[in-house]
Amino acid sequence: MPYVLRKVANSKYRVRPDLNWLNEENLQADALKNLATKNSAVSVYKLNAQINRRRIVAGLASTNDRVTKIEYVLLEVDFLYANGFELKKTPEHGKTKDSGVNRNHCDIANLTPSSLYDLALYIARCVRENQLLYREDYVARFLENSINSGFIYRKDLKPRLRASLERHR
Amino acid sequence: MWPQEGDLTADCLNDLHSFDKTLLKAHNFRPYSNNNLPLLTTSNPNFSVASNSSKSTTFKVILVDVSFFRQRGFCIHEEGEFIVLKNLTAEKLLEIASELHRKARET
Repeated sequence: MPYVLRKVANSKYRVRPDLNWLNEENLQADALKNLATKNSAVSVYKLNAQINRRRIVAGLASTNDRVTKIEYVLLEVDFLYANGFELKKTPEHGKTKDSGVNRNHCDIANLTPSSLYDLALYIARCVRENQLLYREDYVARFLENSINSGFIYRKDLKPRLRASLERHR
Repeated sequence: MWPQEGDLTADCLNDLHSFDKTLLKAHNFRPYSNNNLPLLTTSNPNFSVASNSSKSTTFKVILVDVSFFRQRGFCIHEEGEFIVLKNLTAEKLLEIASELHRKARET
């Protein structure tokens, strides 16, 4: 089954005890902030045999200032299509340092506030069922793997990220 | 072709989130965060300054009657001459965007 990967902040989608005004059916407004759109589209990366989640996570980490944990969600492409979302291949919008990952960039496009809300609800359902994250040390390892495989050039990383990566060796 | 005239795009929600950057921050109001949205009231002395602010070239003033929020069960916290909409759910944020869109089309 095909999936797309989206980096998210899990805490924005969970029902948390400190938010006692929120129930299982609701979403906090910050969840929409976490899904900030550009040209009314949400950025995602499609997984396939060549581009797995570890490589995408390394790509996402490659633009950061330092190595940090990465929380993400996997969305079923079939579910998106079945629920009226438009998925457009937009490699030109991929902003990672891995050109292979960028080629798999897609936009969930032409979103209205209402369809963005539906998307946020779907993400919340996925997060509440299964919170996915890679710890800092895993992210560092994936970055090193992508560098060693020639997918990412070390020189393209910000100096602070290079220094941060050094500390994880 | 999308969007057509009158369509509300998802990007309008970014406007709500960035509201603070152009206006509230300049007047030391707390920005949108933790599901709270601060709004200036017309009785605030900063209102006229803010609505004529030269700091932002894109800012537009939209007036919404506070009763709109009261009638729809928003959690309103009055802080002096401005109000903060607290404990916002995503649905409530959509209501605000929709009302602002409606008001903007009227003016």
